[in-house]
Order: sequence, then C-alpha cells, then structure tokens
Amino acid sequence: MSLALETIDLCYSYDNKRSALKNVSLQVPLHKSLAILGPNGGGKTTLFRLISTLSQLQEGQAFLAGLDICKKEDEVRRVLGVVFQSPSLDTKLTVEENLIHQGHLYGLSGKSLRNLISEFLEKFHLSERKKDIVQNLSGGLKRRVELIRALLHQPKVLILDEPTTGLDPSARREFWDLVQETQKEKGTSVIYTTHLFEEAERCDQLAILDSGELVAFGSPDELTSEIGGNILSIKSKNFHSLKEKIEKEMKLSCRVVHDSIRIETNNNSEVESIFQKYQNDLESVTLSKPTLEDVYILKTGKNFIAASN
Amino acid sequence: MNLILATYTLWLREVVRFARQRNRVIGAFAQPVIFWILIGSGMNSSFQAKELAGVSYMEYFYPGIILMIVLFTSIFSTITIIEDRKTGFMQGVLVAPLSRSSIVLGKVAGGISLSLLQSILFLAFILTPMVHFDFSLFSFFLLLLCIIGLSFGLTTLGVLIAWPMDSIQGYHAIMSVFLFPLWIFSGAAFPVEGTPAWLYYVMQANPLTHGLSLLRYCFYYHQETAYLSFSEIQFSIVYFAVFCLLTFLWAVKMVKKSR
Repeated sequence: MSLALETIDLCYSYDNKRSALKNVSLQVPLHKSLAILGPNGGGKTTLFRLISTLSQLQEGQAFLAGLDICKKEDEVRRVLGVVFQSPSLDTKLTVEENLIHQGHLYGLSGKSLRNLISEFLEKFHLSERKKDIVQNLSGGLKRRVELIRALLHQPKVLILDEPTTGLDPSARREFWDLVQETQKEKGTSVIYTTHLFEEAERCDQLAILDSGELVAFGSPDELTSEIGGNILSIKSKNFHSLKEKIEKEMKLSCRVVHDSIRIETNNNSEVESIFQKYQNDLESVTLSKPTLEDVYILKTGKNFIAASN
Repeated sequence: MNLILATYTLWLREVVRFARQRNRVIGAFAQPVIFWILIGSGMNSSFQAKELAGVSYMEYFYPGIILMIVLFTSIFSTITIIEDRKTGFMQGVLVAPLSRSSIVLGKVAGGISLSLLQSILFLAFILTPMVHFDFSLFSFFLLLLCIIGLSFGLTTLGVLIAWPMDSIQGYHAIMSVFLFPLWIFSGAAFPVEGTPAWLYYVMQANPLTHGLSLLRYCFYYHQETAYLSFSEIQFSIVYFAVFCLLTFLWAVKMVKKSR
C-alpha cells in the first residue's frame, strides 16, 4: 500500500529537556486525509514542523509519499504543499505577484505558470482580486490565496497547520470545502493539525496527540464506536452536587465537561430513572452518540479545554 | 536553472517591496544628502589635510557619503530577513526545494540593486558647483563596479548579522555599536593619515577603509595623488575581495545549517 505519511517511533525534545513527541508511529494511505488533534502543547506543531522539513528529526523515522524525510529532503519538499498557521504571503505584493513568486521558488515559470495561476484563481473565486495588494484582503481571502500558494506546484501531500485560526465559521467552512474538493479532484493527500473537534471530524484518519503521545489513532467512526454506548449530557445549575448524587445513589460514573455532566450509558432505563429521580435539578438532558471530545476524555482522562489552558 | 530562477524571484521581491514603501525610498535617499550638506558645509572652512591640498571638505566627504549610502542600503535590505521570519514569509521559502545559496544571493542581488539606484541618484550632485570632480564616463562605470563589489560584501555581512537575530531592535543596536563605527573609522569623515598609531591600525583593519579607498580611486584614478597610489589600491582590492568571499561563504553556511 502506498503511504502519504509514515512515522516510526518519532521522538522530539526541545533543548534535550522538554519532550514534545514520544514514540509517535502512524501510517496514512495516499489520497486520504489525516487530522492531528490535540490541545495546545500537545505536540501537533512539532509533528507538523518535522514533516514539513522545518525541523530536523532527532529520533525515529518519517517518510512522506515514500521518501525518507532525512535523506531526501529536497524531493520531499517537491511533493509537499504547506499551509502555515501564520501567514506566509508577502502583504506588500499583489495576489498574483505572490503566486508568481511561489511558482518561481518551485521552478515553474512563463506562460504555463500564468495559466496555472489563472486556473486556480478562477476555481477559488479570486480572479477579480488578483491585482489586489494582499494586505487589503480579508482573512478568509488571504487563507484562500495561501491555499493556492501551497497547491500551485501540484503536491502529492498537502499539510496544513491549524489553517483556519482566526477565521469566522463561514470562512472556515468555505476553506475546508475547497480543501476537500482538491483532495477529491486531484487525489491530494491532506494532513492537518487542529484543536477543533468539528474540523477533526472531516478527516479519514484521526490521530489524537496529548503531551506528545499518540493516544488514539483511527477513523473518527472507529474511535467513537470504541466508547460503545451513548452519551447522556445533563445541564444543571447545581451540577457538582447533582454529579455526586448520581454517582452515590445510582453508582454511575460521571464526568464534568465544561458545565455539564456526561454519563456513558447503554441502558435506557438508567436514562429514565435519572430523569424521574432528579427532575427538579435538571435544566436539560441530551442523549447523543459519542463525539470526538468524548473519545479525547476517554483516552486522556482530561477535559480538552482544561488541557489546552 | 532553479538557482537562477529562485534568486531572480527573491531579488525581484526585494526591489518591488522597496519601491512600494515610499518612506523607505525617501528616508534612504534624504538622510545621506542631509548628512553631506549639513556636516560638509559645517566642516568645509576648517578642513585642512596635508595630502589633500586643494580638496574641499564637501569633496572629501562625498565618496564617504556614497559609502554610507551603500552601507546603510545594503544593511537595511537585510533587516527584512528578521521581518520575514516574524511575519512567516520566510517559512514558505524554507520549505521550498531551492538551494540555500539562492536565499543569500537573492538578498545580495536586492541589496546591490538598491545601492546602485540610490548611489546613482546621489551622483546627480556631481553636476552642482558644490564639488569639482573631473568625472568621466569611465569613472562612472568604474564607480558602478565598485558599488556592486561593496554592496555584495556589505549585504552578506548584513545577512550574517540578521539571520540569527529575532528582533529588529537588536539589529538596530548592532548598527549603532558596530556598523556606524565601521563607517566613521573608514576614513569617510576624516583621513586615515595623521591619526594616532592605534587608530591607524584599527582603520587599516577595517574592510570599509579599503572599500572607501576603492570608491575614492574612481574619482581620482587619472591623477596620482600622494595618498592614493595604485599599489595601495591593489592591496585594497585584494583585502576587500577576501572580505566579500569570507562573508559570503559564512552566510551560505549559516543559512544552510539553519531551518
């Protein structure tokens, strides 16, 4: 099977002290997408920097589209398209100038480069803005230009580091639609880091990183089905005391996530009896399929937001 | 081929960015002119140097100002390295499959172009009665060649300083304590001859002293002056060429090693 990315026992530490990645091993087939999910400081960006060739491997091995990242750095760079979290466009240049510059860096030039740029601008609905100086574009449009920049040389693997940071929900949705369209049309493999569960749900394979360790790896469906039951989410004004009551009286294990109580259950009678017994304490009760946030809590024993902070 | 294309595009970006930042264009040209006119006029009446009989201070100072233009334009053009790192532009260049030499060459080519442009603008003052040079077309081409060489060395020096830096403020500090003294002690503002022995040797070791000798030579090559003989110039050419080569090799090595 051809792989877009393979890492074997990848370890990385800063100044030989703080360990940022611990024995991370994963495989992603070509043409598929991988989301790397984790809280801030989880090791996502370190992994991104290693596979984008911005940092040098310390321990372990990594292969991108079958190429050894250590030994074939130049070839790896050719098959890789990168979208960074911080903008990498020159804000003093126009959209078109930025793209021409990018093409030149990858050995593209002349009429073929101009045609390629026109095609992308058309497809990404930016043709009318090509003469605009980048600093005058909105955040969403700038990100679209960044995406074209990364795709211009038709990479086999596109990697993105939290690419929608700072975008409003509609711009975020538009951005991901374009990424998915490209994946579908060109067969580009997509690897992205995110700390948003709704973005992570869009992937074929999901890797959850926590304190540098790979705590879960699989498709989102596989991971959520590991939980087994459904999730009962209860909102209450006195959720701390209600949690204690449920744990004591019904012998159920409860978790507090944000300001709600979450209980893993497979048993409808448990749901009914909670509803009857504590009716006066309840503000709302939701029974739903487990989410990736539940997977994260199950695998790490931590609340995602608390871990991020 | 890729090296040339990458160098070309990095050079073009430098030039376009410079042209779009009007403050930079005005500041880079106005400062040396003001310096030359104010200091030159102030010192003109009190300037006396044995070896330079008949040369006014405005005239003596003129090549020094060209050196200042080349020094500051070259060095300032590398400040963008720090800016590019901060804004994120550099990471896009670093993950591209291009030779690391082209990053240095692109910067150097940018520095040379801007230095040439500004020096040529300043050369317009030759046409005014403030100086009396016997300036020919040959002098002009010699001068262009000299500016290219000087700017090459100084831009690579700038790359060496800017590459490991993470703040523009830090770079300005280096400019005040290192680069400005380099200019002052090059013979730009006062002649090397007649200085105390210790200062004489410091000035002789300064690559800019030799760079300045080359600049002066472009104005006086046709008349043998006591203080600017051809043998001295030969030494300066070698000294400055070695300086350029060393800084370039060091800069390429540094850029290759870093990520």
